[in-house]
Amino acid sequence: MPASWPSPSLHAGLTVLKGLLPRSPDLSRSALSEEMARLGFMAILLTGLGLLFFIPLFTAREAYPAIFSGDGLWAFLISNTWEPLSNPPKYGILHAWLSTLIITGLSLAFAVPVGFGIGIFSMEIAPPAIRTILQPCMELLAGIPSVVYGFFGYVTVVFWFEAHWGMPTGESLLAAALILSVMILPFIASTSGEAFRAVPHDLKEAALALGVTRWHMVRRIVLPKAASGMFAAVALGLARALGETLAVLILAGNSVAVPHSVLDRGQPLTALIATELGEAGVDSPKYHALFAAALVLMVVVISINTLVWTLKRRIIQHEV
Amino acid sequence: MDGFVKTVNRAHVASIDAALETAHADTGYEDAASEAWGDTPHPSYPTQPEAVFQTIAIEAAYSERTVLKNISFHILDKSITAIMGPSGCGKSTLLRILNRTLELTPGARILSGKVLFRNQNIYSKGQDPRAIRKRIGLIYQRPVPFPMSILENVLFGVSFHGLPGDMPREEYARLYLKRVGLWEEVKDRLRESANKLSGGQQQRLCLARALANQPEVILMDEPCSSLDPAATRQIEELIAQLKRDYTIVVVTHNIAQARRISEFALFMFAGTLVESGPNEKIFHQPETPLARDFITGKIG
Amino acid sequence: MLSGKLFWELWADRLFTLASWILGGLGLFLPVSIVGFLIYRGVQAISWSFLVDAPKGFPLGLEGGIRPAIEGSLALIALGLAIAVPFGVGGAIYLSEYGASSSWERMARFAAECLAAIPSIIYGLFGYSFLVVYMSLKISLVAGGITLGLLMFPLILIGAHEAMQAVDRAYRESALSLGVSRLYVARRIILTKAWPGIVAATVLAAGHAVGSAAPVLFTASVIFSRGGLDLTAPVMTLPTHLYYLVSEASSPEQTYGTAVILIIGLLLSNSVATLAKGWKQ
Repeated sequence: MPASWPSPSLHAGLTVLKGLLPRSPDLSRSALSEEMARLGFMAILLTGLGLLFFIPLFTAREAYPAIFSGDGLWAFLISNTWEPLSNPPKYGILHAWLSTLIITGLSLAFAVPVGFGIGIFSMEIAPPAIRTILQPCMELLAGIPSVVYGFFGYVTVVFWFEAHWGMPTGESLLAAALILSVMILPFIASTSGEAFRAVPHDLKEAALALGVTRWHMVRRIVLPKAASGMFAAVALGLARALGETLAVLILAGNSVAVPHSVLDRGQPLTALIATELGEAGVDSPKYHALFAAALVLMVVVISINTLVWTLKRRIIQHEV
Repeated sequence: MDGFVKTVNRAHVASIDAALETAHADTGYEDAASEAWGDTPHPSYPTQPEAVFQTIAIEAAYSERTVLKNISFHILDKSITAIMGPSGCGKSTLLRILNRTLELTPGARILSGKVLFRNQNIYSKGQDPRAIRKRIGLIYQRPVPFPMSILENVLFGVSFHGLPGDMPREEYARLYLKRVGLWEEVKDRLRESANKLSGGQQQRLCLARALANQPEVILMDEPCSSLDPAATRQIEELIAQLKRDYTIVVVTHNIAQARRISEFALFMFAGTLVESGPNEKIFHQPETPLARDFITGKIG
Repeated sequence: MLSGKLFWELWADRLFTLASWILGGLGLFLPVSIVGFLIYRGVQAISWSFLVDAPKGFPLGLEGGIRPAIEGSLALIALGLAIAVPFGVGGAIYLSEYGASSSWERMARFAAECLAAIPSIIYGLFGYSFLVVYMSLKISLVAGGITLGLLMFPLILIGAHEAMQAVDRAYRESALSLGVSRLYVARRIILTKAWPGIVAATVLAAGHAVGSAAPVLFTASVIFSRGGLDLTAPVMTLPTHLYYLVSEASSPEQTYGTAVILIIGLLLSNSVATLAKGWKQ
């Protein structure tokens, strides 16, 4: 390095810069503008995806005080209840993730069998005319806004619970789970449907040629082959169910008490954030606690997404 | 076996001869049909043209798999060379190496060796692949009409590089559409979508598009294999005419076609170059048993 | 005389077929009945004044219309698209046309899918704390618009990328063989062939964003506004207005009406997207 260079870092920086520029001796103007276009688009992509790192980092930073300087992680997750008004105020999200667990578990229990059933129906049994209407029907179901589902559930399920079952209030984890299962149904149905359709046709034909029934063929050939796709469908449904806000906000009852049965009222993580944010002063302990709840949610959802992604890659690799 | 092939060949040549006469009459070219064809034997070695291409020990791979090993040959200016071999032997890969489009396939690359185009290594660091691609055109097996009008298709490359002089665009396009014999068929529908043309017309359009780019070399990857016999004949006639102004390299798996249209031949097998030379040698006195088997149809 | 096993297999098959038909029927019945129910109950509320007037009455929303909510939602979407489309399509162009190595491409795609999976309330939370508070944008049209833009960006990126990847590789090779630049190929060929898919993805993303209350609840929305759009002022939005009406439970008619407007918006965006996808180049 020449002694005249002001600093090693400057030299390094300039080398990097030189590396980015095209080095052709007969550098035409179009080659330069091509390189600028490439860098421009790359910058756009990096800026956008930089979000992926910025949003979780920001959330983690804001969540930090609630987890590490308050009563600690265990208290936050398990032992504390949500009592902002007590003295000293306690911020635990036990009731919230328990509500989330119950609601998502229930909704999956309803939606998964129905979703798989619709998937198999569209692959194997439906006549072509019905198959073509089934697709926009699922898209319709998937597109109805969360708040509209909440309203619909309110005037149907909650109303029925109160009118016919004599419950003091129809708002409950069960009501939320029922509507949530309808919301995630199209995702499970279409993802598993894709997995079923991906089973090679000659495999199915070969089985039927041996004289077995359709159900036998589906059970022994299609389901095993589509197993990872079915798993991915469930994971996808789960991720969607975890993230729903408005519907469960309207239907689950918004109670900070720890729920004990499905007929209790509850408050999933998403509803907790939506309800309490309005009354959380910036930088207050409650504010940080809400960010911590959001962090929990985000970590779970991204983990599920990563799982689905690796699963999909394994499927592709096996096919190749 | 040889005699039979020769007889068929001569008859075929004669019929193409006749077709070419008509074709030449239509387009108004002055050159006699017999200059390119006829039954005079091809010259064994053109006198003193410089080598346009020279490859030295090329080795190439797709991801982990080596597909070309130790390929060395040279191609002479304004000649027509056929690259032949059974499917999978690497002929298309070799062609793409010559105009630097191999690297567009993910994972495909040259491992070692040099490719000299007019004595300059086109893979050396400072070379701009796009400038090279402009000088060396490539026609593909399946015609690829772009989603635009016939006129815009022809002018696609030139619209980017800039039209020479201040010739109006339609004038320029007409020149090359005439050159490929497409003008009469499309002159009233230049603004229509190119997708409406037949397979053979589309392939000629692709040729016009490549020619309009004013390359020095034209590479063709099995240009006739997705066309019917009539369209194939048209393309082969075109190739014969173009030889006067361009260096042409044609990949084909069809021996009869190679005999018809080329002067020199390269024979490849499983990624290696087995034999190369003028057609007389390759087709009538092949040196290697492998080449002999391929010519006689024992392998293919 | 059927063997025991065969007997069971035949019955299982019949059961299977029956169950499939029932579930398939359910799949058709659910969307139709939900949408039908809401439209049936709500269509009476839809009138010209409903669309054109501001909410009136006490408590608010008992009478009048929802025009400010419609305006607010449209304005938010327009702002959001102004951010999401350039970044989404631009990023997709890079991934599809310039992507050097496929592993980087996969990572970027994975990042986009993770972003798309993040619950919308977290976008709202982030929007509130970063845009409204930290950047002092206050609860406003611009804060909500940016938040929706962030929400729509990964969806448009993924959709545009898929649309461009679907374009046959032969076009790129053929065009690049003529020695033109990648930008030229993207502009004249790839985008020409991919734009229906890009439009479909954009419309679907916009439809998704219009119905989302969570991102705008704390970044842009206000319970009542007389109308008029100011970038620095909060706005009413359709989903938050519906939520407000449901909580107040004062006017079922208005509530159904608002829900129907949202449903109509959904039907429109789905139809446009389907039409766009079916457009052959």
